[in-house]
Amino acid sequence: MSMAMDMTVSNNRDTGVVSVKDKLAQQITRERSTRRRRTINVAIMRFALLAALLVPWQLGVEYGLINPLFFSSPLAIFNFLVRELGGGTIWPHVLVTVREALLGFLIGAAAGVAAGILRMQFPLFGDVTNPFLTILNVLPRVALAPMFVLWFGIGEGSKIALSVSLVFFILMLSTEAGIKSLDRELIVTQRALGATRTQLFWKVMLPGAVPAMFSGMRLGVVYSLLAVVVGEMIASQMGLGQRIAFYAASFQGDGLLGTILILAAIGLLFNVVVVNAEAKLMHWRLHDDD
Amino acid sequence: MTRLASEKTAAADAATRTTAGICIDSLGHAFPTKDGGAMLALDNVSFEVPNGQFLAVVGASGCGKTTILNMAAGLIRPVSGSVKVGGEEVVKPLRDTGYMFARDGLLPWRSALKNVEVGLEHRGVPKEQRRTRALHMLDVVGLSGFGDSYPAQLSQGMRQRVAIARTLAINPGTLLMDEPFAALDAQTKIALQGEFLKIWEKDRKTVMFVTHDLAEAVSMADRVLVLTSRPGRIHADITIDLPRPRDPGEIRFDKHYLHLLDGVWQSLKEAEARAG
Ligand SMILES: Nc1ncnc2c1ncn2[C@@H]1O[C@H](COP(=O)(O)OP(=O)(O)OP(=O)(O)O)[C@@H](O)[C@H]1O
Ligand SMILES: [Mg+2]
Repeated sequence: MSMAMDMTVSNNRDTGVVSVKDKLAQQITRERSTRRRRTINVAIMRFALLAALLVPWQLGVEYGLINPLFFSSPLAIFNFLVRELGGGTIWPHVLVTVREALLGFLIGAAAGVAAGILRMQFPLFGDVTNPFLTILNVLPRVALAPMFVLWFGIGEGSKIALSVSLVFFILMLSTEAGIKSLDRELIVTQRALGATRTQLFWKVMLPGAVPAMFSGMRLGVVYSLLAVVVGEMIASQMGLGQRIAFYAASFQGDGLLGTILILAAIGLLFNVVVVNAEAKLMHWRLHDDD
Repeated sequence: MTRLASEKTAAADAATRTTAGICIDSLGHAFPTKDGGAMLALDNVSFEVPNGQFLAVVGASGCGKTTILNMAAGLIRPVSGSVKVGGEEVVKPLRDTGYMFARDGLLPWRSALKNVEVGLEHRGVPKEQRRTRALHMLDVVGLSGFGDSYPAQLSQGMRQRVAIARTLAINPGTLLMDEPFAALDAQTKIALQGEFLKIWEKDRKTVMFVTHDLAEAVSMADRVLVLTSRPGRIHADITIDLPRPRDPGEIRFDKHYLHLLDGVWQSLKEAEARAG
Protein backbone atom coordinates (compact mmCIF):
# COMPACT_ATOMS: atom_id res chain seq x y z
CA MET A 1 0.00 0.00 0.00
CA SER A 2 2.64 2.49 1.03
CA MET A 3 4.82 1.34 -1.82
CA ALA A 4 2.05 2.07 -4.28
CA MET A 5 1.76 5.55 -2.83
CA ASP A 6 5.50 6.05 -3.30
CA MET A 7 5.26 4.97 -6.89
CA THR A 8 2.54 7.49 -7.61
CA VAL A 9 4.50 10.31 -6.07
CA SER A 10 7.68 9.53 -7.96
CA ASN A 11 5.68 9.15 -11.16
CA ASN A 12 4.23 12.57 -10.68
CA ARG A 13 7.67 14.00 -10.16
CA ASP A 14 8.82 12.33 -13.36
CA THR A 15 6.11 13.89 -15.50
CA GLY A 16 7.05 17.23 -14.01
CA VAL A 17 10.69 16.80 -15.02
CA VAL A 18 10.02 15.51 -18.52
CA SER A 19 8.77 18.59 -20.31
CA VAL A 20 5.99 18.57 -22.87
CA LYS A 21 8.53 19.26 -25.62
CA ASP A 22 10.62 16.26 -24.67
CA LYS A 23 7.53 14.09 -24.60
CA LEU A 24 6.56 15.29 -28.04
CA ALA A 25 10.08 14.54 -29.30
CA GLN A 26 9.84 11.02 -27.85
CA GLN A 27 6.46 10.57 -29.42
CA ILE A 28 7.75 11.69 -32.80
CA THR A 29 10.72 9.34 -32.60
CA ARG A 30 8.39 6.51 -31.66
CA GLU A 31 6.05 7.26 -34.51
CA ARG A 32 8.93 7.50 -36.95
CA SER A 33 10.29 4.09 -36.00
CA THR A 34 6.80 2.58 -36.22
CA ARG A 35 6.47 4.05 -39.69
CA ARG A 36 9.87 2.74 -40.75
CA ARG A 37 8.99 -0.72 -39.49
CA ARG A 38 5.74 -0.57 -41.44
CA THR A 39 7.51 0.45 -44.66
CA ILE A 40 9.85 -2.53 -44.33
CA ASN A 41 6.96 -4.88 -43.63
CA VAL A 42 5.03 -3.64 -46.63
CA ALA A 43 8.07 -4.17 -48.86
CA ILE A 44 8.51 -7.72 -47.57
CA MET A 45 4.85 -8.55 -48.09
CA ARG A 46 4.87 -7.12 -51.61
CA PHE A 47 7.88 -9.24 -52.45
CA ALA A 48 6.16 -12.29 -50.97
CA LEU A 49 3.05 -11.63 -53.05
CA LEU A 50 5.14 -11.32 -56.21
CA ALA A 51 6.92 -14.57 -55.38
CA ALA A 52 3.59 -16.26 -54.68
CA LEU A 53 2.56 -15.38 -58.23
CA LEU A 54 5.81 -16.10 -60.06
CA VAL A 55 7.13 -19.23 -58.34
CA PRO A 56 4.03 -21.44 -58.92
CA TRP A 57 3.90 -20.14 -62.49
CA GLN A 58 7.55 -21.11 -63.15
CA LEU A 59 7.18 -24.46 -61.37
CA GLY A 60 3.92 -25.16 -63.20
CA VAL A 61 5.67 -24.68 -66.52
CA GLU A 62 8.59 -26.80 -65.44
CA TYR A 63 6.41 -29.70 -64.30
CA GLY A 64 4.28 -29.49 -67.42
CA LEU A 65 1.13 -28.26 -65.71
CA ILE A 66 1.10 -24.94 -67.62
CA ASN A 67 1.55 -24.74 -71.37
CA PRO A 68 4.41 -22.31 -72.05
CA LEU A 69 3.16 -21.78 -75.60
CA PHE A 70 0.24 -19.76 -74.21
CA PHE A 71 1.58 -18.57 -70.88
CA SER A 72 5.35 -18.45 -71.35
CA SER A 73 7.22 -18.48 -68.05
CA PRO A 74 8.76 -15.86 -65.74
CA LEU A 75 12.28 -16.98 -66.60
CA ALA A 76 11.64 -16.90 -70.35
CA ILE A 77 10.21 -13.37 -70.02
CA PHE A 78 13.18 -12.32 -67.94
CA ASN A 79 15.57 -13.72 -70.52
CA PHE A 80 13.67 -11.92 -73.29
CA LEU A 81 13.94 -8.61 -71.44
CA VAL A 82 17.67 -9.05 -70.77
CA ARG A 83 18.32 -9.99 -74.40
CA GLU A 84 16.22 -7.25 -75.98
CA LEU A 85 16.99 -4.38 -73.65
CA GLY A 86 20.69 -5.20 -73.47
CA GLY A 87 21.45 -4.30 -77.08
CA GLY A 88 18.60 -6.09 -78.79
CA THR A 89 16.33 -4.76 -81.48
CA ILE A 90 13.53 -3.46 -79.20
CA TRP A 91 14.94 0.04 -78.57
CA PRO A 92 13.95 1.60 -81.92
CA HIS A 93 10.39 0.39 -81.24
CA VAL A 94 10.44 1.85 -77.73
CA LEU A 95 11.65 5.14 -79.16
CA VAL A 96 8.86 5.27 -81.77
CA THR A 97 6.12 4.46 -79.27
CA VAL A 98 7.37 6.97 -76.70
CA ARG A 99 7.73 9.67 -79.34
CA GLU A 100 4.21 9.09 -80.67
CA ALA A 101 2.69 9.01 -77.20
CA LEU A 102 4.48 12.18 -76.11
CA LEU A 103 3.68 14.14 -79.26
CA GLY A 104 0.07 12.98 -79.21
CA PHE A 105 -0.22 13.93 -75.56
CA LEU A 106 1.38 17.36 -75.97
CA ILE A 107 -0.65 18.31 -79.04
CA GLY A 108 -3.89 16.90 -77.62
CA ALA A 109 -3.39 18.49 -74.20
CA ALA A 110 -2.51 21.92 -75.59
CA ALA A 111 -5.47 21.88 -77.97
CA GLY A 112 -7.81 20.49 -75.29
CA VAL A 113 -6.87 23.10 -72.71
CA ALA A 114 -7.19 25.86 -75.32
CA ALA A 115 -10.61 24.58 -76.44
CA GLY A 116 -11.83 24.27 -72.87
CA ILE A 117 -10.77 27.81 -72.08
CA LEU A 118 -12.28 29.24 -75.28
CA ARG A 119 -15.56 27.44 -74.68
CA MET A 120 -15.76 28.77 -71.13
CA GLN A 121 -14.70 32.31 -72.03
CA PHE A 122 -17.00 32.55 -75.05
CA PRO A 123 -20.27 30.81 -74.16
CA LEU A 124 -21.62 31.33 -77.69
CA PHE A 125 -18.68 29.37 -79.10
CA GLY A 126 -19.34 26.75 -76.42
CA ASP A 127 -23.01 26.43 -77.31
CA VAL A 128 -22.42 26.21 -81.05
CA THR A 129 -19.71 23.56 -80.77
CA ASN A 130 -21.48 21.50 -78.10
CA PRO A 131 -23.38 18.90 -80.20
CA PHE A 132 -20.43 18.29 -82.51
CA LEU A 133 -17.99 17.75 -79.69
CA THR A 134 -20.43 15.56 -77.79
CA ILE A 135 -20.85 13.25 -80.78
CA LEU A 136 -17.10 13.06 -81.36
CA ASN A 137 -16.53 12.37 -77.69
CA VAL A 138 -19.02 9.49 -77.37
CA LEU A 139 -17.69 7.92 -80.56
CA PRO A 140 -15.34 4.97 -79.84
CA ARG A 141 -12.20 6.69 -81.11
CA VAL A 142 -10.53 3.42 -82.12
CA ALA A 143 -13.09 3.28 -84.94
CA LEU A 144 -11.29 6.25 -86.44
CA ALA A 145 -7.94 4.44 -86.59
CA PRO A 146 -8.33 3.04 -90.14
CA MET A 147 -9.36 6.47 -91.38
CA PHE A 148 -6.32 8.06 -89.74
CA VAL A 149 -4.11 5.49 -91.52
CA LEU A 150 -5.77 6.55 -94.77
CA TRP A 151 -5.19 10.22 -94.03
CA PHE A 152 -1.81 10.23 -92.31
CA GLY A 153 -0.21 7.07 -93.63
CA ILE A 154 1.00 3.94 -91.90
CA GLY A 155 3.80 5.83 -90.08
CA GLU A 156 3.74 7.79 -86.84
CA GLY A 157 1.24 10.42 -88.03
CA SER A 158 -1.79 8.16 -87.78
CA LYS A 159 -0.88 7.03 -84.22
CA ILE A 160 -0.36 10.59 -83.09
CA ALA A 161 -3.71 11.55 -84.58
CA LEU A 162 -5.47 8.76 -82.67
CA SER A 163 -3.80 9.84 -79.44
CA VAL A 164 -4.72 13.48 -80.02
CA SER A 165 -8.36 12.49 -80.61
CA LEU A 166 -8.46 10.95 -77.12
CA VAL A 167 -6.28 13.35 -75.12
CA PHE A 168 -7.98 16.42 -76.57
CA PHE A 169 -11.36 15.55 -75.05
CA ILE A 170 -9.97 14.47 -71.71
CA LEU A 171 -8.13 17.77 -71.26
CA MET A 172 -10.95 19.88 -72.69
CA LEU A 173 -13.49 18.39 -70.30
CA SER A 174 -11.25 18.58 -67.24
CA THR A 175 -10.30 22.18 -68.02
CA GLU A 176 -13.95 23.09 -68.33
CA ALA A 177 -14.78 21.25 -65.11
CA GLY A 178 -11.94 23.09 -63.36
CA ILE A 179 -13.17 26.50 -64.47
CA LYS A 180 -16.81 25.66 -63.69
CA SER A 181 -16.08 24.40 -60.20
CA LEU A 182 -14.04 27.48 -59.33
CA ASP A 183 -15.24 29.17 -56.14
CA ARG A 184 -17.50 32.08 -57.22
CA GLU A 185 -16.33 33.98 -54.17
CA LEU A 186 -12.78 34.18 -55.52
CA ILE A 187 -13.99 35.72 -58.76
CA VAL A 188 -16.29 38.24 -57.04
CA THR A 189 -13.52 39.22 -54.62
CA GLN A 190 -11.05 39.83 -57.41
CA ARG A 191 -13.62 41.73 -59.46
CA ALA A 192 -14.23 43.96 -56.45
CA LEU A 193 -10.47 44.43 -56.18
CA GLY A 194 -10.50 45.87 -59.67
CA ALA A 195 -9.50 42.91 -61.87
CA THR A 196 -10.32 43.29 -65.55
CA ARG A 197 -11.70 40.35 -67.53
CA THR A 198 -8.25 39.50 -68.80
CA GLN A 199 -6.73 39.72 -65.33
CA LEU A 200 -9.52 37.54 -63.92
CA PHE A 201 -8.67 34.96 -66.52
CA TRP A 202 -4.91 34.90 -65.93
CA LYS A 203 -4.90 35.38 -62.17
CA VAL A 204 -7.97 33.45 -61.05
CA MET A 205 -9.54 31.13 -63.61
CA LEU A 206 -6.40 29.64 -65.11
CA PRO A 207 -4.53 28.97 -61.85
CA GLY A 208 -7.81 27.82 -60.31
CA ALA A 209 -8.30 25.25 -63.06
CA VAL A 210 -4.76 23.86 -62.78
CA PRO A 211 -5.63 21.09 -60.28
CA ALA A 212 -8.39 19.79 -62.55
CA MET A 213 -6.08 20.04 -65.57
CA PHE A 214 -3.55 17.90 -63.79
CA SER A 215 -6.05 15.17 -63.03
CA GLY A 216 -6.88 15.32 -66.74
CA MET A 217 -3.21 15.01 -67.62
CA ARG A 218 -2.71 12.01 -65.37
CA LEU A 219 -5.48 10.31 -67.31
CA GLY A 220 -4.26 11.79 -70.59
CA VAL A 221 -0.79 10.24 -70.57
CA VAL A 222 -2.23 6.79 -69.95
CA TYR A 223 -4.75 7.17 -72.76
CA SER A 224 -2.13 8.56 -75.11
CA LEU A 225 -0.05 5.43 -74.64
CA LEU A 226 -3.15 3.29 -75.10
CA ALA A 227 -4.06 5.08 -78.33
CA VAL A 228 -0.65 4.74 -79.97
CA VAL A 229 -0.33 1.07 -78.99
CA VAL A 230 -3.75 0.27 -80.42
CA GLY A 231 -2.88 2.27 -83.53
CA GLU A 232 0.34 0.32 -83.93
CA MET A 233 -1.43 -3.00 -83.47
CA ILE A 234 -3.90 -2.17 -86.22
CA ALA A 235 -1.43 -1.11 -88.88
CA SER A 236 2.22 -0.25 -88.41
CA GLN A 237 5.78 -1.16 -89.25
CA MET A 238 7.30 0.12 -86.02
CA GLY A 239 6.44 0.50 -82.36
CA LEU A 240 5.73 -1.72 -79.34
CA GLY A 241 2.13 -2.25 -80.43
CA GLN A 242 3.37 -3.67 -83.71
CA ARG A 243 5.73 -5.94 -81.75
CA ILE A 244 2.87 -7.17 -79.59
CA ALA A 245 0.80 -8.01 -82.64
CA PHE A 246 3.79 -9.78 -84.16
CA TYR A 247 4.67 -11.83 -81.05
CA ALA A 248 1.05 -12.81 -80.55
CA ALA A 249 0.67 -13.93 -84.15
CA SER A 250 3.85 -16.02 -83.93
CA PHE A 251 3.06 -17.52 -80.51
CA GLN A 252 6.04 -15.97 -78.74
CA GLY A 253 4.61 -15.58 -75.27
CA ASP A 254 7.87 -14.34 -73.74
CA GLY A 255 8.09 -11.51 -76.27
CA LEU A 256 4.44 -10.66 -75.88
CA LEU A 257 4.50 -10.42 -72.09
CA GLY A 258 7.97 -8.85 -72.03
CA THR A 259 6.80 -6.09 -74.36
CA ILE A 260 3.75 -5.53 -72.19
CA LEU A 261 6.07 -5.13 -69.20
CA ILE A 262 8.10 -2.53 -71.11
CA LEU A 263 4.86 -0.67 -71.87
CA ALA A 264 3.92 -0.76 -68.20
CA ALA A 265 7.30 0.74 -67.33
CA ILE A 266 6.78 3.53 -69.88
CA GLY A 267 3.31 4.22 -68.49
CA LEU A 268 4.70 4.37 -64.96
CA LEU A 269 7.44 6.75 -66.06
CA PHE A 270 4.91 9.09 -67.71
CA ASN A 271 2.79 9.01 -64.60
CA VAL A 272 5.72 9.83 -62.32
CA VAL A 273 6.63 12.83 -64.48
CA VAL A 274 3.09 14.23 -64.32
CA VAL A 275 2.70 13.58 -60.59
CA ASN A 276 6.02 15.30 -59.87
CA ALA A 277 5.13 18.31 -61.98
CA GLU A 278 1.83 18.48 -60.15
CA ALA A 279 3.49 18.36 -56.73
CA LYS A 280 5.89 21.13 -57.80
CA LEU A 281 3.17 23.41 -59.12
CA MET A 282 0.72 22.83 -56.30
CA HIS A 283 2.95 22.99 -53.25
CA TRP A 284 0.41 25.43 -51.80
CA ARG A 285 -2.08 22.66 -51.19
CA LEU A 286 0.38 19.87 -50.37
CA HIS A 287 1.96 21.65 -47.42
CA ASP A 288 0.27 19.40 -44.86
CA ASP A 289 2.25 16.42 -46.16
CA ASP A 290 5.61 17.68 -45.01
CA MET B 1 -25.73 66.99 -37.59
CA THR B 2 -22.85 66.03 -39.85
CA ARG B 3 -19.34 66.74 -38.81
CA LEU B 4 -18.56 68.28 -42.18
CA ALA B 5 -21.28 70.87 -42.14
CA SER B 6 -20.18 72.37 -38.86
CA GLU B 7 -16.48 72.40 -39.58
CA LYS B 8 -16.20 73.65 -43.12
CA THR B 9 -16.97 76.88 -44.90
CA ALA B 10 -19.77 76.99 -47.43
CA ALA B 11 -17.30 76.98 -50.34
CA ALA B 12 -15.39 74.03 -49.01
CA ASP B 13 -18.68 72.32 -48.30
CA ALA B 14 -19.76 72.72 -51.92
CA ALA B 15 -16.45 71.30 -53.07
CA THR B 16 -16.93 68.32 -50.76
CA ARG B 17 -20.41 67.77 -52.06
CA THR B 18 -19.22 67.42 -55.66
CA THR B 19 -16.83 64.71 -54.52
CA ALA B 20 -19.35 63.39 -52.02
CA GLY B 21 -18.68 60.02 -50.45
CA ILE B 22 -21.48 57.66 -51.31
CA CYS B 23 -24.77 58.92 -52.70
CA ILE B 24 -27.67 56.45 -52.88
CA ASP B 25 -30.64 57.89 -54.75
CA SER B 26 -34.12 56.25 -54.76
CA LEU B 27 -32.64 52.81 -55.10
CA GLY B 28 -35.04 50.03 -55.98
CA HIS B 29 -34.20 46.47 -56.79
CA ALA B 30 -36.01 43.21 -57.45
CA PHE B 31 -34.74 39.73 -58.19
CA PRO B 32 -36.44 37.35 -60.61
CA THR B 33 -38.06 34.39 -58.85
CA LYS B 34 -38.14 30.79 -60.06
CA ASP B 35 -41.81 30.98 -61.09
CA GLY B 36 -41.09 33.93 -63.40
CA GLY B 37 -42.23 36.66 -61.02
CA ALA B 38 -40.19 39.29 -59.24
CA MET B 39 -39.23 39.59 -55.59
CA LEU B 40 -38.87 43.16 -54.34
CA ALA B 41 -35.63 43.39 -52.37
CA LEU B 42 -35.15 47.15 -52.00
CA ASP B 43 -37.82 49.83 -52.11
CA ASN B 44 -36.92 53.46 -52.70
CA VAL B 45 -33.86 53.70 -50.50
CA SER B 46 -32.06 57.07 -50.44
CA PHE B 47 -29.21 58.17 -48.22
CA GLU B 48 -25.81 59.78 -48.40
CA VAL B 49 -22.57 58.94 -46.70
CA PRO B 50 -20.50 62.14 -46.48
CA ASN B 51 -16.81 61.97 -47.21
CA GLY B 52 -14.93 60.54 -44.26
CA GLN B 53 -17.97 59.15 -42.45
CA PHE B 54 -18.14 55.68 -40.96
CA LEU B 55 -21.68 54.46 -41.60
CA ALA B 56 -22.98 51.18 -40.22
CA VAL B 57 -26.04 49.54 -41.79
CA VAL B 58 -28.10 47.06 -39.79
CA GLY B 59 -31.31 45.21 -40.60
CA ALA B 60 -32.92 41.79 -40.62
CA SER B 61 -31.40 39.00 -42.67
CA GLY B 62 -32.47 39.25 -46.29
CA CYS B 63 -33.47 42.92 -46.15
CA GLY B 64 -31.07 43.88 -48.94
CA LYS B 65 -27.92 45.13 -47.20
CA THR B 66 -25.55 43.09 -49.31
CA THR B 67 -27.51 44.11 -52.39
CA ILE B 68 -26.88 47.79 -51.61
CA LEU B 69 -23.17 47.13 -51.13
CA ASN B 70 -22.97 45.11 -54.34
CA MET B 71 -24.49 48.04 -56.19
CA ALA B 72 -22.10 50.51 -54.59
CA ALA B 73 -19.27 48.17 -55.55
CA GLY B 74 -20.48 48.05 -59.15
CA LEU B 75 -21.01 44.30 -59.09
CA ILE B 76 -24.74 44.56 -59.92
CA ARG B 77 -26.81 47.32 -61.52
CA PRO B 78 -29.92 48.58 -59.74
CA VAL B 79 -33.29 48.15 -61.45
CA SER B 80 -34.16 51.73 -60.58
CA GLY B 81 -32.38 54.66 -58.96
CA SER B 82 -28.66 55.27 -58.90
CA VAL B 83 -25.55 54.93 -56.79
CA LYS B 84 -22.77 57.50 -56.98
CA VAL B 85 -19.40 57.15 -55.33
CA GLY B 86 -17.17 60.22 -55.28
CA GLY B 87 -19.66 61.96 -57.56
CA GLU B 88 -19.34 59.26 -60.21
CA GLU B 89 -22.22 56.98 -61.16
CA VAL B 90 -21.20 53.41 -60.43
CA VAL B 91 -21.62 51.11 -63.43
CA LYS B 92 -18.62 48.86 -62.87
CA PRO B 93 -16.18 48.25 -60.00
CA LEU B 94 -14.33 51.51 -59.29
CA ARG B 95 -10.59 51.51 -58.77
CA ASP B 96 -10.93 53.75 -55.73
CA THR B 97 -13.36 51.48 -53.86
CA GLY B 98 -12.41 48.60 -51.61
CA TYR B 99 -14.88 45.82 -50.79
CA MET B 100 -14.52 43.34 -47.94
CA PHE B 101 -16.60 40.26 -47.23
CA ALA B 102 -17.14 37.93 -44.30
CA ARG B 103 -15.25 35.27 -46.22
CA ASP B 104 -11.68 36.25 -46.98
CA GLY B 105 -11.70 35.13 -50.63
CA LEU B 106 -7.92 34.70 -50.57
CA LEU B 107 -6.44 32.94 -53.58
CA PRO B 108 -5.23 29.62 -52.11
CA TRP B 109 -2.31 29.31 -54.52
CA ARG B 110 -0.84 32.67 -53.54
CA SER B 111 1.19 33.38 -50.43
CA ALA B 112 -0.16 35.95 -47.98
CA LEU B 113 2.17 38.57 -49.42
CA LYS B 114 1.10 37.85 -53.01
CA ASN B 115 -2.53 37.98 -51.91
CA VAL B 116 -2.01 41.44 -50.47
CA GLU B 117 -0.29 42.48 -53.70
CA VAL B 118 -3.07 41.32 -55.99
CA GLY B 119 -5.11 44.54 -56.08
CA LEU B 120 -1.95 46.52 -56.83
CA GLU B 121 -1.16 44.05 -59.61
CA HIS B 122 -4.56 44.76 -61.15
CA ARG B 123 -3.62 48.45 -61.09
CA GLY B 124 -0.29 47.89 -62.78
CA VAL B 125 1.83 49.00 -59.83
CA PRO B 126 5.50 48.04 -60.43
CA LYS B 127 6.80 44.96 -58.65
CA GLU B 128 9.16 46.62 -56.20
CA GLN B 129 6.59 49.19 -55.08
CA ARG B 130 3.96 46.46 -54.76
CA ARG B 131 6.15 44.38 -52.53
CA THR B 132 7.13 47.28 -50.28
CA ARG B 133 3.52 48.34 -49.89
CA ALA B 134 2.29 44.80 -49.23
CA LEU B 135 5.00 44.16 -46.64
CA HIS B 136 4.03 47.39 -44.92
CA MET B 137 0.33 46.45 -44.89
CA LEU B 138 1.08 43.01 -43.47
CA ASP B 139 3.03 44.77 -40.75
CA VAL B 140 0.09 47.12 -40.07
CA VAL B 141 -2.29 44.19 -39.51
CA GLY B 142 0.27 42.45 -37.31
CA LEU B 143 1.33 39.72 -39.71
CA SER B 144 4.93 40.63 -40.47
CA GLY B 145 6.80 37.37 -40.89
CA PHE B 146 3.82 35.54 -42.36
CA GLY B 147 4.25 36.86 -45.91
CA ASP B 148 5.40 33.52 -47.26
CA SER B 149 2.62 31.48 -45.64
CA TYR B 150 -0.19 30.14 -47.79
CA PRO B 151 -3.83 30.73 -46.76
CA ALA B 152 -4.23 27.06 -45.79
CA GLN B 153 -1.44 27.55 -43.23
CA LEU B 154 -3.11 30.53 -41.53
CA SER B 155 -5.86 30.64 -38.93
CA GLN B 156 -9.17 32.21 -39.85
CA GLY B 157 -8.37 35.40 -37.95
CA MET B 158 -5.03 35.65 -39.71
CA ARG B 159 -6.66 35.11 -43.09
CA GLN B 160 -9.12 37.90 -42.38
CA ARG B 161 -6.20 40.14 -41.44
CA VAL B 162 -4.61 39.35 -44.79
CA ALA B 163 -7.91 40.27 -46.43
CA ILE B 164 -7.95 43.60 -44.58
CA ALA B 165 -4.35 44.26 -45.64
CA ARG B 166 -5.28 43.37 -49.23
CA THR B 167 -8.17 45.84 -49.24
CA LEU B 168 -6.19 48.62 -47.56
CA ALA B 169 -3.16 48.08 -49.81
CA ILE B 170 -4.97 49.69 -52.74
CA ASN B 171 -5.56 52.70 -50.45
CA PRO B 172 -9.21 53.05 -51.44
CA GLY B 173 -11.03 56.31 -50.80
CA THR B 174 -14.20 54.38 -50.10
CA LEU B 175 -14.55 51.14 -48.15
CA LEU B 176 -17.52 48.81 -48.45
CA MET B 177 -17.60 46.12 -45.80
CA ASP B 178 -20.06 43.23 -45.60
CA GLU B 179 -19.91 41.66 -42.14
CA PRO B 180 -16.12 41.56 -42.40
CA PHE B 181 -15.64 40.18 -38.88
CA ALA B 182 -18.67 37.88 -38.76
CA ALA B 183 -16.71 34.67 -39.23
CA LEU B 184 -14.38 35.32 -36.28
CA ASP B 185 -14.44 34.28 -32.64
CA ALA B 186 -15.33 36.95 -30.06
CA GLN B 187 -11.79 37.84 -28.97
CA THR B 188 -10.28 37.99 -32.44
CA LYS B 189 -13.28 40.00 -33.53
CA ILE B 190 -12.82 42.71 -30.88
CA ALA B 191 -9.07 42.79 -31.52
CA LEU B 192 -9.58 43.26 -35.26
CA GLN B 193 -12.30 45.86 -34.74
CA GLY B 194 -9.85 47.84 -32.62
CA GLU B 195 -7.03 47.47 -35.13
CA PHE B 196 -9.26 48.45 -37.99
CA LEU B 197 -10.53 51.52 -36.14
CA LYS B 198 -6.99 52.58 -35.36
CA ILE B 199 -6.05 52.39 -39.02
CA TRP B 200 -9.26 54.09 -40.08
CA GLU B 201 -8.99 56.93 -37.58
CA LYS B 202 -5.65 57.93 -39.14
CA ASP B 203 -7.03 58.90 -42.55
CA ARG B 204 -10.83 58.54 -42.25
CA LYS B 205 -11.98 56.97 -45.48
CA THR B 206 -15.66 56.87 -46.29
CA VAL B 207 -16.97 53.58 -44.92
CA MET B 208 -20.24 51.71 -45.42
CA PHE B 209 -20.19 48.82 -42.98
CA VAL B 210 -22.92 46.16 -42.92
CA THR B 211 -23.25 44.07 -39.79
CA HIS B 212 -25.63 42.01 -37.67
CA ASP B 213 -23.65 42.79 -34.56
CA LEU B 214 -25.23 45.91 -33.04
CA ALA B 215 -22.37 46.35 -30.56
CA GLU B 216 -19.98 46.36 -33.49
CA ALA B 217 -22.09 48.95 -35.31
CA VAL B 218 -22.38 51.32 -32.35
CA SER B 219 -18.80 50.98 -31.14
CA MET B 220 -17.26 51.60 -34.55
CA ALA B 221 -19.55 53.86 -36.57
CA ASP B 222 -20.36 57.60 -36.70
CA ARG B 223 -23.90 56.78 -37.71
CA VAL B 224 -26.16 53.73 -37.86
CA LEU B 225 -28.80 53.17 -40.49
CA VAL B 226 -31.58 50.74 -39.55
CA LEU B 227 -33.38 49.03 -42.45
CA THR B 228 -36.81 47.38 -42.36
CA SER B 229 -37.29 43.74 -43.29
CA ARG B 230 -37.85 42.82 -46.90
CA PRO B 231 -38.26 44.93 -48.90
CA GLY B 232 -35.56 47.09 -47.33
CA ARG B 233 -36.53 50.66 -46.51
CA ILE B 234 -34.82 53.10 -44.19
CA HIS B 235 -36.40 52.86 -40.75
CA ALA B 236 -34.07 54.99 -38.64
CA ASP B 237 -30.93 57.06 -39.00
CA ILE B 238 -29.08 57.28 -35.69
CA THR B 239 -26.04 59.47 -35.03
CA ILE B 240 -23.41 57.92 -32.77
CA ASP B 241 -21.77 60.87 -31.03
CA LEU B 242 -19.16 58.93 -29.09
CA PRO B 243 -15.71 60.53 -28.88
CA ARG B 244 -12.81 59.21 -30.92
CA PRO B 245 -10.39 57.54 -30.81
CA ARG B 246 -12.48 54.62 -29.64
CA ASP B 247 -11.53 51.21 -28.42
CA PRO B 248 -14.28 48.63 -29.06
CA GLY B 249 -12.80 46.52 -26.27
CA GLU B 250 -13.10 49.29 -23.67
CA ILE B 251 -16.21 51.13 -24.75
CA ARG B 252 -18.51 48.24 -23.82
CA PHE B 253 -19.05 49.62 -20.30
CA ASP B 254 -19.49 53.26 -21.31
CA LYS B 255 -22.90 54.60 -20.20
CA HIS B 256 -23.62 56.69 -23.26
CA TYR B 257 -22.54 53.80 -25.47
CA LEU B 258 -24.98 51.48 -23.71
CA HIS B 259 -27.72 54.05 -24.12
CA LEU B 260 -27.08 54.36 -27.85
CA LEU B 261 -26.86 50.60 -28.21
CA ASP B 262 -30.24 50.23 -26.55
CA GLY B 263 -31.68 52.85 -28.92
CA VAL B 264 -30.42 50.98 -32.00
CA TRP B 265 -31.72 47.73 -30.59
CA GLN B 266 -35.23 49.14 -29.94
CA SER B 267 -35.24 50.67 -33.41
CA LEU B 268 -34.30 47.37 -35.04
CA LYS B 269 -37.09 45.61 -33.13
CA GLU B 270 -39.61 48.17 -34.39
CA ALA B 271 -38.24 47.83 -37.93
CA GLU B 272 -38.69 44.08 -37.86
CA ALA B 273 -42.13 44.29 -36.28
CA ARG B 274 -43.24 46.73 -38.92
CA ALA B 275 -42.43 44.41 -41.83
CA GLY B 276 -45.01 42.23 -43.47
N1 LIG C 1 -28.80 36.72 -56.87
C1 LIG C 1 -30.00 36.71 -56.27
N2 LIG C 1 -31.05 36.11 -56.87
C2 LIG C 1 -32.26 36.10 -56.28
N3 LIG C 1 -32.54 36.65 -55.11
C3 LIG C 1 -31.54 37.26 -54.46
C4 LIG C 1 -30.22 37.32 -55.01
N4 LIG C 1 -29.43 38.00 -54.13
C5 LIG C 1 -30.22 38.33 -53.10
N5 LIG C 1 -31.49 37.90 -53.30
C6 LIG C 1 -32.62 38.12 -52.40
O1 LIG C 1 -32.67 39.50 -52.10
C7 LIG C 1 -32.91 39.71 -50.74
C8 LIG C 1 -31.83 40.58 -50.17
O2 LIG C 1 -30.61 39.89 -50.21
P1 LIG C 1 -29.31 40.44 -49.51
O3 LIG C 1 -28.22 39.46 -49.75
O4 LIG C 1 -29.06 41.82 -49.96
O5 LIG C 1 -29.73 40.44 -47.99
P2 LIG C 1 -28.90 40.86 -46.70
O6 LIG C 1 -29.60 42.00 -46.08
O7 LIG C 1 -27.47 41.06 -47.06
O8 LIG C 1 -29.05 39.60 -45.80
P3 LIG C 1 -28.03 38.96 -44.76
O9 LIG C 1 -28.04 39.85 -43.58
O10 LIG C 1 -28.60 37.63 -44.45
O11 LIG C 1 -26.70 38.90 -45.43
C9 LIG C 1 -32.96 38.36 -50.08
O12 LIG C 1 -34.28 38.05 -49.81
C10 LIG C 1 -32.41 37.40 -51.10
O13 LIG C 1 -33.14 36.21 -51.08
MG1 LIG D 1 -25.69 40.01 -46.62
